[in-house]
Amino acid sequence: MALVGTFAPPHPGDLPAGSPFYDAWHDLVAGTIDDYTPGVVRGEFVDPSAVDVDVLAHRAVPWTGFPRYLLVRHRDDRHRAFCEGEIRNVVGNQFEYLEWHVTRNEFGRITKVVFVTELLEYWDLLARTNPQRLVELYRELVHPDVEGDDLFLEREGTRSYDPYNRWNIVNGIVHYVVGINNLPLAVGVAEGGLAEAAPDGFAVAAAPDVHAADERLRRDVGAVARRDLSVILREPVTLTIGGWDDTGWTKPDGSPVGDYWRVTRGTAEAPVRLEYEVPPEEGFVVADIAIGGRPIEFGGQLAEHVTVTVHAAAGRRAS
Amino acid sequence: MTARVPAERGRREPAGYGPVVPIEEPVYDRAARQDVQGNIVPGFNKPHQQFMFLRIDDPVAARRWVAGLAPQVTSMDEALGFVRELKARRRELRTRDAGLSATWENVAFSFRGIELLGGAGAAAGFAEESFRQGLAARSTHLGDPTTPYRPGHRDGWVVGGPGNEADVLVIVAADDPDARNERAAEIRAGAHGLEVLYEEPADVLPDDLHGHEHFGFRDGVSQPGVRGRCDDGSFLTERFVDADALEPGDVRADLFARPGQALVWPGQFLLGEPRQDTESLLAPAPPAARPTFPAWAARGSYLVCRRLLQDVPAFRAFTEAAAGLAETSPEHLAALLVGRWPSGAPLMRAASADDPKLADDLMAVNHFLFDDDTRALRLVPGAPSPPDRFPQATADVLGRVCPHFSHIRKMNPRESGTDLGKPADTLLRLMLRRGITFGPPLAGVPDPSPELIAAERGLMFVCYGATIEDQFEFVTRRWANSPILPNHGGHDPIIGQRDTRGDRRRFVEVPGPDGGVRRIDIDRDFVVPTGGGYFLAPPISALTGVLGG
Repeated sequence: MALVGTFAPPHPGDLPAGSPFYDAWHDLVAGTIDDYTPGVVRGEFVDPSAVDVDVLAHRAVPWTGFPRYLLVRHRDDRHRAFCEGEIRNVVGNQFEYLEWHVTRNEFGRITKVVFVTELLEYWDLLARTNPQRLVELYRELVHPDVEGDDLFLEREGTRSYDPYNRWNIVNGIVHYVVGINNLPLAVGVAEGGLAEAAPDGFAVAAAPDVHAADERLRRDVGAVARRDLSVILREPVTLTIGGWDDTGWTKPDGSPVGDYWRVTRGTAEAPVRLEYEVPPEEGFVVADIAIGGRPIEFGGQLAEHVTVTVHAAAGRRAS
Repeated sequence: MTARVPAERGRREPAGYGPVVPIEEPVYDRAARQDVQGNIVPGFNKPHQQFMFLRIDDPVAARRWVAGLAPQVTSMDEALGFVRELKARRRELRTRDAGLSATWENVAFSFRGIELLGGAGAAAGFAEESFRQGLAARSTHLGDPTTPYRPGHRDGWVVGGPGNEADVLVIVAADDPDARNERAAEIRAGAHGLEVLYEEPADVLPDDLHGHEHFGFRDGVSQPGVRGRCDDGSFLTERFVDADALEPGDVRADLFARPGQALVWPGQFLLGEPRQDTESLLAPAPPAARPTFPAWAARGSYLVCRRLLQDVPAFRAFTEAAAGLAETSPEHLAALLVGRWPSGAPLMRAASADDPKLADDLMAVNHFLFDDDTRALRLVPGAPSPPDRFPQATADVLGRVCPHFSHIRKMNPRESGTDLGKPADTLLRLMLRRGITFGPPLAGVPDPSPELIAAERGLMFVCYGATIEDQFEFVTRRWANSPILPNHGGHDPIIGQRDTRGDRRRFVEVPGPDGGVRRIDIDRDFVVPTGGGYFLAPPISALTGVLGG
């Protein structure tokens, strides 16, 4: 019997149980993963809803949320890397499956940073299944002023969801907009790890693109497959926020910051939306916090301490 | 359906190891070798050292003192020459005691020290922000205690805390302790315009513990090799892998100096030299887009010094108490924490028991991968070891033999993917470590007195690199201090620190015999920072130029 009956959504309860949304979500995920993809030498990548695997070990695959592309492009100018890290649109720059939106006050100082690993595919499906619920969620997450017309486009008599609406880019954030941050590509990159016949990780061909996520996924899947094991993605099959590290961050008086993080979507084990904002009673804002003695000027300074994770497992096909 | 991966994701080169191009390593002539301080390359490796932390009171007098010190500062040229003669004598006499000795010294300056000696203009060009800030300002970022009065908090440091930061660090190193003491006294007496803030004599542990740290484990086994040659054709780091014995396309002779010792471009350690490419294991990086240091500092190196107290009784008590939870012996648990047995033999090649013979074989002790089976390497004719006769390491992709929390796996994940992707990125993180123990040993003492137990002991951690933030600070904060990076499994139990709003608990997930893991909390710090600083070890030419005269 397969490990997964129906793929669970990244965030539970957006729609009532029994909604056709859930079967559609399962079909979307299952359609992204082949039943099995054999490695060129050994191992395989399998759909846990289609193939029964005896799990030997769970493995979380983490990488850093700030784009490595910018860190190496501006190897000697971290300030510029952080500047460019604030650019978020369909072609860039938040490439590591972590996107964020920064809110600044009237003085231009950061008051809030919201991180997401939410899939555009999920929200598009939600919009097609229940447009009103989509509007409600936008109002809850971003701003009560959101109107349905803000989120949908009319083209040739067809009304369709606009993922690049202002409440998801300029005035807030709900889900991915960077073109290469999507589930099929993540799965495709992971499956690409099976295409390696290299004897070890030093000999695995290095990709000329510089994204940490891609190398991490490809190498980890390849290393497990070379042990003649089956690799599956664990539930929920999505990108999640795996951790955040504010140790050593300091308030204006030099004392350690409080816990200002809030998981607002996903589950405690697999968050997909994370918000950072100082409570008003503290009397200061995010920009007043120092990381290693340096004031926060960019959301990327926080993103550097946020980890993205895919949950996977290694096992053998059940006999 | 299988997802189609567009060009933006998943592109890769047709062959492994990165672009295979002719490797033209930089050549260091005598003038260049005489400009680089010798503790950077090849490293002093002397058994008796003195760390002298000084503060500049009178910059004019201090400049004269610096210039006077210059002729005594040991260069790469002198240290390399000594090492080569020592090896030749040892081969000739067939004994380790070749009868050669030397007394050496190196010097380094804090950002403030450079400002005082050379003026604001001399210091203005340093883009390395951590260097400008100093260790004390970065302390809690490194996981040091945030609560004042707690052991390890910067306010209590013997040197390097707020108000007692050193401007100058002099390291004296000798084969003979009396010679070390004599030279340190001379420096002390001649230090006009400077005040000695703190001194630490540091000595390797005696007898069988030579080369071991206080917990009883051999230290400094794994160091990166530095690419580059001298103008006589010799390599800065000697090469032992036989390229002729490799299959076509197998470039491991270009990747390793000795089996397991990855070669790194010298600009990772010496300012201005060719750096490691961010994407390739073999290639140098294009030149920097903009200068990140003043021209006078070329061939200098950032020096991080941390005085780390080691609580040996606490370490022992932990391993003994936790061994039951881990369902193994205290000795094996301690080896799991480090990743090596006390002899230095790696768990990856000696999973169940220590193997001192393996540890003694310098061509075998460091030859292992983590995620894949390790392939044997043939050595060049005349290599100082016979062919590697020990069983090769086998893959441990799930971290059951050498857990992901093990100190050596945290500090150098080798060929594994990491949170920043490819192993070429890991080469950017490696440092040249030049630490030495201080204080009387407790390991190996059968019935120690209360006074001996209470005595301070630890490691004067010293490392060199071309950045502080992307090397020392990166591996400390990002890997050692994180329970999930570069892989899930717990904190580095040896040097890892964690201070979450005053909570300093850490944990490790120890693999059990049933295939599961046992989470073991670590409720005490075995290693406590008590001082140090961020410095620049400048080129020797700067001592009679920008910084002295």
